[in-house]
Amino acid sequence: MKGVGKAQRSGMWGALFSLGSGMLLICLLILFTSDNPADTLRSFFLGPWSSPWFIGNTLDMVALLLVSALGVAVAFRGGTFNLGGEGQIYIGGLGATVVLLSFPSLSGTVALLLAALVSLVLGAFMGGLSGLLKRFARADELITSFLFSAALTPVADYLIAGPLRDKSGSLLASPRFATTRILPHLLPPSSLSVSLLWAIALVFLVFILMNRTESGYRFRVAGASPEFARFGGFPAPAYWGYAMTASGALHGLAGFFAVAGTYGLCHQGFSGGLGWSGIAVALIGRNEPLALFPAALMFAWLKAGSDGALLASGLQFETSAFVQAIILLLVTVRFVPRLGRSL
Amino acid sequence: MDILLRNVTKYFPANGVQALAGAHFELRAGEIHALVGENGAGKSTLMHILAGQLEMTTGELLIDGLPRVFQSPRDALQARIGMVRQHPGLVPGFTCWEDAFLGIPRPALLPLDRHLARQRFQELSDRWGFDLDANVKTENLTISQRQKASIVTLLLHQVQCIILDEPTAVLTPMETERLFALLRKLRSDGKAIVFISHKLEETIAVADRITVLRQGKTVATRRSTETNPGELTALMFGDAVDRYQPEKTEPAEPVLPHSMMLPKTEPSPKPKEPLLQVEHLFVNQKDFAYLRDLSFSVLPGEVYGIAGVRDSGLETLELTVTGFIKPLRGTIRLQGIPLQGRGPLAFRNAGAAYVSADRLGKALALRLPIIDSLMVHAHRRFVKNRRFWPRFLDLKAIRYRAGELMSLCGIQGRLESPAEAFSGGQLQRLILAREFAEEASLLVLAEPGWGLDASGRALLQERLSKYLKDGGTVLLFSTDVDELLRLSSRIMVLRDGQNVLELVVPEDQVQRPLIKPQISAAMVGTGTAKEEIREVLA
Repeated sequence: MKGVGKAQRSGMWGALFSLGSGMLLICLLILFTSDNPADTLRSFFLGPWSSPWFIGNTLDMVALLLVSALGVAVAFRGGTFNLGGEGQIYIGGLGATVVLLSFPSLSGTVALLLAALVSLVLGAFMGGLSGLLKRFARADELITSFLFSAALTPVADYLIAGPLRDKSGSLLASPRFATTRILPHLLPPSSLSVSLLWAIALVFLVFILMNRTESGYRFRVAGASPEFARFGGFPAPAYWGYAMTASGALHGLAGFFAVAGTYGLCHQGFSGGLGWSGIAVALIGRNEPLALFPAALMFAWLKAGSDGALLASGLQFETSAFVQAIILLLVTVRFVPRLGRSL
Repeated sequence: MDILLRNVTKYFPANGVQALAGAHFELRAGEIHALVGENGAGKSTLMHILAGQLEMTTGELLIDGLPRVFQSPRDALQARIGMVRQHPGLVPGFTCWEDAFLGIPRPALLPLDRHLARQRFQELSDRWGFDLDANVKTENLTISQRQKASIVTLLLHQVQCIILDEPTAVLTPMETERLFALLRKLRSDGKAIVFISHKLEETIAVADRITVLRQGKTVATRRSTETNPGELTALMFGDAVDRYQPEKTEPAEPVLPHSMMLPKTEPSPKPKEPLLQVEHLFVNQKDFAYLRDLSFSVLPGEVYGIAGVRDSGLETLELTVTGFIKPLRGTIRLQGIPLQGRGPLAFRNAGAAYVSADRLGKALALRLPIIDSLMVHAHRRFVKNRRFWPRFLDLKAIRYRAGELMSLCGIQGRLESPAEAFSGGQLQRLILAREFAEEASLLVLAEPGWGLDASGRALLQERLSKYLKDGGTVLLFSTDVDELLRLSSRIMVLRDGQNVLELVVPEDQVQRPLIKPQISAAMVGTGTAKEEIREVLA
């Protein structure tokens, strides 16, 4: 009655607005810093779509961002904040790697399924532990999830550089998985794999679970208003636990998609800030599952663009980092809903 | 100081609400001027404009004949106009005097003379009889003390005009009387006082003049000596009076719960099993008043009222019965099912509905769409599949039901709008409607009058008598003795966590007020009651 738009729509507006202003700033930045602004602009905005190879890589990044951003959004909608996504992705990917490198008797599909399950369980365990600590020991999940992640990252680093390392290569990485044990690629030679389809399906699955089911309703209410949840007879702390577990599971899966889809092996630091980018994407999409599509697409575009421009026309590395910082800054300022309302 | 607000309009472009559409208001020095009107009539908006918290869209403000424009509360304070909110926000961790001195203008860079400041606060408080200790931490103050502390703060600003936004809605009768005595003193000192209220009778008792707002327009200004609640009700609601039964006619209406209490077919009224039985209840919960060895039982079909002042254990009992607080000892049985310490869901499953006193925090999810708040109980019934997970909700049926609740309350709005987009009065009605829809055998109703205007209360009365006619039972918690007398068939008085008085309310509406002194005295304790009465007389 008072002209407030749907939550979904405000999410969309938020995504568009923060990315639009981000792009404007990028253009200005390039105009002032680049020797050849026209070329830089072209490689920045069109580069990511200039050939099947680039398109594939950009879409692959979209897939990874979608899954990890979905993990962040689930935690947030359930009333928690998962700051350990980076480590959950890393550990999840590592678990998948161990499975994919052993059990030579298993067929490729079974091995992949098992690897997905292991990464999911590992991530869920890490997230769930923070959820349990929040529920029973009142420990802030923001801190505990970050600390778990930070503590386990060096362990994973060691395992990749030590026991799992491919001794024949010069990289700090595991051996390449057998070709049957890599997710089918869609646009070879790019890194795009079926993980994109899985990611899209996962987003819809979460959307439906959250908005159409009894548990999803309780999950949302427990996240938004714990007191009211108790009044309704479903105590919120239990749902906080589920939120962190589901969030961790999705991050773990993102790790699986990264090793089994994108890279085909596990190298040190493969998560490369994916968890943090996931938070940014979730914020751009205002934690609305469906709004994550445009958010992830735009974010991946900008990231691929800045990487491309870095190579193609000498855009400085600081500039591309600066661009990402600007977007993060823009999405954390919550002035967008108000704009949406006055429209 | 004379204040004149002329032709004031206020439009909120953010949500398209025309809150004021030509309001006039005139205030003279040395008067108590009451502002009355339905929920959403624009009372608070008008006064927020006068206090500089909102800017008017059009209109003018004249102070002593000179036009003024306030852009902030600071401007208003400099013009000696200040406002006291219903729940004054004080800085936690500060003492009273520290909080009061926060906004007092003083020379820059000079340190505050703490000793002098505290002394000034204490002197001012003592002179007016506020009975506040300057050294008390703000978080330890009761609501009435907070209101008083805010008034002292305004007096430190040397205001000439004090606006009080529905101060009595959250006060007990004794606290209200004290506040009124205080306001009269301030009036005799030449201060102009604006007093926003829902309660017409106390308004007539304390105010010199009364201005009525309806739908953002000033309808009339009357001298309190020349009007009566009936006329004011008519002015407040206009045509609506015909639709809703106004309160003044209630005593004549046969809405007595007693008549439905015992159906004539019942062979003997005595051997009736209690519906709710509370025995030897002890509660010792942090941050709540305790309960000691409390026992009572509620019979089917009756309205059992529980009276008590703030901190008497009323809130503790409300939350313990409904399962939110776990008792130390004792039993609570609803239809024979033990409920103590088994949580709110067990309480509901045993066949009870609950309207809490704390409505906005507990009974609603403010930031989620209103439908999420409306379906909190219904969502258990509208599940498509019970056998396997996930259970899908029948959203079509739920939306239909929620829409029904909205239209039942006469509220137009989208189900997707967040709850916070609705006004307080609308949310109250929705919560009541939601709980009445539960077909519960026991309805726990806490402070039903809070935040409801006369038409909302009439609606509540109507629903309540229908509910009772259908065989329902009500457990009523209230700090408002008049409300309890109007609705209950039996009343228990709670003081210091104990049952100090239990009596049957006479069926005759005329006799009912006669037991009010007895109840009020029991609520505050006989010793203190005398003091209070003496104070009121003085």
